[in-house]
Amino acid sequence: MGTVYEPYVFNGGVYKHGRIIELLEDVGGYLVNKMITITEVTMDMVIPEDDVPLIEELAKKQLGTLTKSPLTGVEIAVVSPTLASHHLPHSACDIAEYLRHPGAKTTMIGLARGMGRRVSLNDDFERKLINEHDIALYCLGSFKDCIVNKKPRLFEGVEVPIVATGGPEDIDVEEINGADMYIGSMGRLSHRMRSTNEINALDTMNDRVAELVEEMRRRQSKDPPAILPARAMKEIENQIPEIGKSLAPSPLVLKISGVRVKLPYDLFHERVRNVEFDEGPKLGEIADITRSKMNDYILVQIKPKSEVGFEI
Amino acid sequence: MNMEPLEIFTVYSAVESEAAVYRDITADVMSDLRLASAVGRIRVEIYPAKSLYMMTAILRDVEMPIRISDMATVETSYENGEDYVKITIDREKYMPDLTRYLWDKYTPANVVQADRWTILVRAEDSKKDAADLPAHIIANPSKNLHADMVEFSIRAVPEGFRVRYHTFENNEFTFIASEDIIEPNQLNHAKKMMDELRSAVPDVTETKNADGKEKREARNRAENTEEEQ
Repeated sequence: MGTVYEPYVFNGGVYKHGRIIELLEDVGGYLVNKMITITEVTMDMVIPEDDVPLIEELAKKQLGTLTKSPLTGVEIAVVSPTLASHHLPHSACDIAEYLRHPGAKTTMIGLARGMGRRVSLNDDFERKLINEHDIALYCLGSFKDCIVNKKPRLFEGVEVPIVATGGPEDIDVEEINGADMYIGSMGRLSHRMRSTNEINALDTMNDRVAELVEEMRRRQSKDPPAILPARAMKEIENQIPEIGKSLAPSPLVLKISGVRVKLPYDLFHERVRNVEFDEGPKLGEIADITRSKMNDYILVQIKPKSEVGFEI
Repeated sequence: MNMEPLEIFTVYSAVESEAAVYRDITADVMSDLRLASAVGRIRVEIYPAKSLYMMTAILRDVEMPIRISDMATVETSYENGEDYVKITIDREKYMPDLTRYLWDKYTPANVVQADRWTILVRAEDSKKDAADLPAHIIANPSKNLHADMVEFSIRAVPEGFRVRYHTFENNEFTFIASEDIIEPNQLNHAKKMMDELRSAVPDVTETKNADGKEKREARNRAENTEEEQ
């Protein structure tokens, strides 16, 4: 049985944080994201399950904290029916911001024609963009009638798991056609989510999305990707140094079964395809490398073991 | 009609919890646009299944134009070897309007805000200006009220209700929004809502949602009026 990896986030001082990275590399873990803010550093990482106490011990010595971040390595599309003031900045931005706390990478998507009850729909480009993510989380409003009868039209063509959020608490997920999960108490708001009830609702959302991710990972473990996405990400970073010059806030985004590389497709897709692993195969042989709908970036979708025939 | 701010504030929807949500949204938007003291009575009815939103509001007697003397005390002052016009702020609400007026008249370089409550103005003839300034009108709340009420309705209405109708006559504001054509019976219903709102007897506890500061100001004004009488 292969190594089991656990996602964690380290928060601590910049001073000697390199020691954590060194130890992480020694035990075979991967650094997913590092962000330095003045004298503080936040690092998302995946650590082999057995070696977590080692890192924990060093983190403690460094006066930092190591906490579990169940959504590390998950890219979530936070979809609001439009970009109008009814959804933004509250509550969609609050939801996206809160999902980032346990490590998720979020993309805010406002549909062009998602407004109202009669006309709301999504178009092909939007569907394809949403499908590039691991989970689609829809920020819906406060009317039960809308959520149950009208808004499921926005889910058409979306193949990734769908989480719907809205105001009413008494909706059963079976009532919403196409949704995999419904989270209440988060409907339309015109102020920042800050009261106890609102923060509780956001905490519940994070817990339930984490449950969904766990279920997705459990299902994936039956037929795992041919290579650990975090390892593919590390190799891309090492073999294509230009990634360091990308101006995107997170140039490499780890997904449940792939990586989004934020470099222009036309210039770099061949080099991504030719990224080599110690065991021999190239990335192009074990992954689909396609043009992303997001800013012409590169999308690496790692094929499952059953399709490739081996796992490295 | 003499009214307290938000003496009647009701929101109706078929589902009670949805009405409560829209009451919060309406209160938030009203507070953002500083309309809480201008609105006396308001009733909102929402019918999600029919894609219909109706709002009727009766505004309180519109405030008079604001002169500098309404918000500040003006005198001359001699500081660091220079003559100044010294403006001491009593009500901060119209500070942006006052600053805009002073900047236009004296240029920003000659307007110094010494602290939160004091502005010093370098004028050619500070005695004359200190005598003239108090009578200048710097803001006219009634002029913007109609636009603010329309803005308020558009912000509060559920998303996608793009067919809109509104009237504003004699301090009475009616707004209807829908996804479909607005029908005559809906207009009649709005008129009926307005009639009921006009004849309703306010419950004193209804003022609880008024914006705190506005409510305090209204109470102070009322107390001052009583003292004068």
